[in-house]
Amino acid sequence: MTALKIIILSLALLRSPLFLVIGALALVSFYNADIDVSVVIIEMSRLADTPMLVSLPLFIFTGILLSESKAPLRMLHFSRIFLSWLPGGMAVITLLVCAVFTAFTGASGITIFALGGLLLPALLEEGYQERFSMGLITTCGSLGLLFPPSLPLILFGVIAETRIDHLFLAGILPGLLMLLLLIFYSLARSPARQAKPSYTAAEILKGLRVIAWELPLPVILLGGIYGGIFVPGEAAAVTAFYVLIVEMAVHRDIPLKQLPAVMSKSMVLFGGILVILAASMASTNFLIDQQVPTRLFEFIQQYIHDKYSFLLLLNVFLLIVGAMLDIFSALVLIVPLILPIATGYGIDPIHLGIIFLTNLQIGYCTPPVGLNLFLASYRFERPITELYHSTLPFLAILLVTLMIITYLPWLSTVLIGFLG
Amino acid sequence: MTGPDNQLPAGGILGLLDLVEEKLLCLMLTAMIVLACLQIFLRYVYSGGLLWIDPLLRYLVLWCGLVGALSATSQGKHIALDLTAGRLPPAIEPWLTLLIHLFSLLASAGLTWAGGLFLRGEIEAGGAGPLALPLWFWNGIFPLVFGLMTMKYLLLFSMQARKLLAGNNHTNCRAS
Amino acid sequence: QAAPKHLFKIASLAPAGSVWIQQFENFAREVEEKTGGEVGFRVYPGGVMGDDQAMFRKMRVGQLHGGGFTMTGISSVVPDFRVMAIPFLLESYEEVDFVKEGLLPAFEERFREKDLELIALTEVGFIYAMSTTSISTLPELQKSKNWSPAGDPISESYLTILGITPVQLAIPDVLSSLQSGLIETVYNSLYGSIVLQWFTKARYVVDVPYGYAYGVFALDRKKFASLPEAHRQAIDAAAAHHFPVLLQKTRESNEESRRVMAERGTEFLKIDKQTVQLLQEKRDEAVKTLIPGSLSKEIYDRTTGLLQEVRSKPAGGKPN
Ligand code: NA
Ligand code: NA
Repeated sequence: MTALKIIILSLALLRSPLFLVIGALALVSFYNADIDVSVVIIEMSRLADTPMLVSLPLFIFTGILLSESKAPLRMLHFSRIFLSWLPGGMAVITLLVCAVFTAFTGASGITIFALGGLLLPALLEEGYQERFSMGLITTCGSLGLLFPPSLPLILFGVIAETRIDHLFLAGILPGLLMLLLLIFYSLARSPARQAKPSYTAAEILKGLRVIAWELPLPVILLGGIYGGIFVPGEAAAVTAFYVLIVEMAVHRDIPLKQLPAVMSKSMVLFGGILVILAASMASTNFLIDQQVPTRLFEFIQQYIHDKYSFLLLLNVFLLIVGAMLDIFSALVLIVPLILPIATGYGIDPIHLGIIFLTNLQIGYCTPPVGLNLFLASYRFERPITELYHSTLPFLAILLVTLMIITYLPWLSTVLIGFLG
Repeated sequence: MTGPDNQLPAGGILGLLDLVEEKLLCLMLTAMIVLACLQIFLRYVYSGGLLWIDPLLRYLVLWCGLVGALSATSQGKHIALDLTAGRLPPAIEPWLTLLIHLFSLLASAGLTWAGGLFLRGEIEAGGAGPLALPLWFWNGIFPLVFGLMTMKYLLLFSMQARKLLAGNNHTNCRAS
Repeated sequence: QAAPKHLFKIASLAPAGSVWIQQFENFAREVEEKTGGEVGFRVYPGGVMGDDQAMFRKMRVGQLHGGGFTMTGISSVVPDFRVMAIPFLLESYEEVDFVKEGLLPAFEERFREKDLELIALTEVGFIYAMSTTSISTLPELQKSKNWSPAGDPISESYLTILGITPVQLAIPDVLSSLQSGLIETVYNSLYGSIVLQWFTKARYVVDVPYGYAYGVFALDRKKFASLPEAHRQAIDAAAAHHFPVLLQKTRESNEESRRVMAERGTEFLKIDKQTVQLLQEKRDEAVKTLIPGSLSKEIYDRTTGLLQEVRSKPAGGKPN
């Protein structure tokens, strides 16, 4: 049986569908423990009792709709009009636009594809070094992961059964801190000012009019949730409906004929995530049945006595996980195991969520499996090793942010105290 | 993990199945958006919603995800790790694909089997789900999707096996 | 320590370290001692095995051998068990205890039909309507935005008869929705509203029990029946020792909660006799729609009979 499990595990490294690997391990484990294998499906069927799950497919659809429309172009145009007077304007624009775009499209790599091709030439034109520019865009591919309504944030809430409205609030300050530090660094690396671009009043007005429909999205989303108009789960439906109307009827970016393709594309993406979630519920249930989390906690407690050493260890562990797994698999596989242990050390699940996501965000840019590195290498047709080098300084900044976020829980929880 | 070896050709019964999947996904996603928005609307107009909407929504999500995963199987779009990343000798590559299809076939067959056992239990136990349809109807999606998935992997496996057998006569020519 | 010959894997929604789990562990310890370690229990608290429905499914296939179920959850399996949850029916602990004892044989029988061995009844306590606004008349209740838990036919049909369309939300969404004003009136035990922090928002409590909430500890019937007679007796004896203590502790925490809430400024509203009478008439209407789909006539008649009996007894009745 152990041999069989090892064979299955090694198949996981050779591009077997991950949900089948996890599912097969669960089947074999339950069978081996003399427990009816239908428990695997019983666990999967629990997904129908998860109210927050409804928001996942809807936000995925919204994200794909936005990225297939010309919304990225409009956002970029708008921010150029309003932000290029800033020193280091183009770098700041890159950071902000990517952060907002990633939050809405779910950090599934869309940002680099939708915006990278526009941003890189713009940065180079303004005189930024190529290496800096590529590093910036690669890093930006997952920036905004901590801002609502990013998919990984929701997925963490679903798995950890924590309040989504609290998670949404918790991510804001840590996300801003990360953004600020990256802005400071970018300012230091910005070339000397060229002639300040100037826009006429008419151009400014036009820029505003063009973005007028998409600009209120964050307000609709957050205002709706914290203003008591809808619960977080319903926010996804309202957002999806709104974006559907805006892109299809107002801007007409996507012809009606193309809508079924966009819809089924989104649901295929969702399906890939859902089956991993389903399979990992089954494998997690086996571990719970065998009381593994409890024993793991007892074991770790012998060596790690305080919360702060645990957090340090957790960060190292998660950085390794982030380097190996993509964010969705990492969340569904690791959160159920770590959560009870972290709670045992008195760590707030919301704070844990922010630590988790910050780590996994860094994982997007770390070899060997860094989605952003691959995407940027593909998009800009550069060898991946070149991108390793260009992202290094940014990685250092992200690590500094991670330390601050980890050891300053206040940053994650203070807004909840005011608004939650 | 999209490559020619991982995708099923469109056409015939499979083409029909793909079409049904796509239409079903669009229909269910539209229903989800409409129902969820309707619920919010009703709450404002009648200060109360329809009790059957929420449970129905949750099963729609489950169905959407599973049918989406079924489509992902034909399109070779399942999340997977690839540590070899094209570093394997070209001669081994197609054999690895064959091995992976075989594993996927066995694993999805195992899930179908477990789904069948689960469904039998649900039918015996009874109980009603959304829209007064029996619970086993709503949960029947598990063995159904896993069963169809098994069929798809069987096709992928046999296609790859045939290609390998035929390929032994020629020199190894890999599609890129 | 050797593994027990008969291991019962038990799941519960109650969190680890809660009174329920603590008391259950005391019960398990006594059984283990009395059976010389032959019968053992392993507890999965905090809902890690899923909700009532998932727990029941897992008992059916043998992964679990018992569970602490809530009334709402297990009633989809044993519908008659929900009879004591009828609104404005039971009014005091005295009535609760008397009716419960009288119904126990019927409950045991119904559970056995579903392959469940009822070991003990547990209590959540009296449920009160709590609101962010002062509600002491029926029109005021009807006007406020009501919450209702999902999957409870009794409260669904009762609220419908009252002309209220409730907003159904999952428990984790309730507190934030109370704050944002999406819902105004919620239903919970006093202790429950403290644990979930609902009392910080819903500061007005209608001081007439809206209903009674309870649960059950049940084991797999076949596994229980396969135990030697002495072991079964040991389980029943230990249950008789420890579950009454749990009941007592639950009642104490509800009383304590009332004190805490009053100190923190919760207002306990009195409602007049006519309103209560009106609510009870509406209840009788609701019950008619529940029989026989959600409840058998037999169990309802037995319950009302027991209630008449206890109410006709001289004051003081049976000591608690
Ligand atoms: Na990585
Ligand atoms: Na990664």
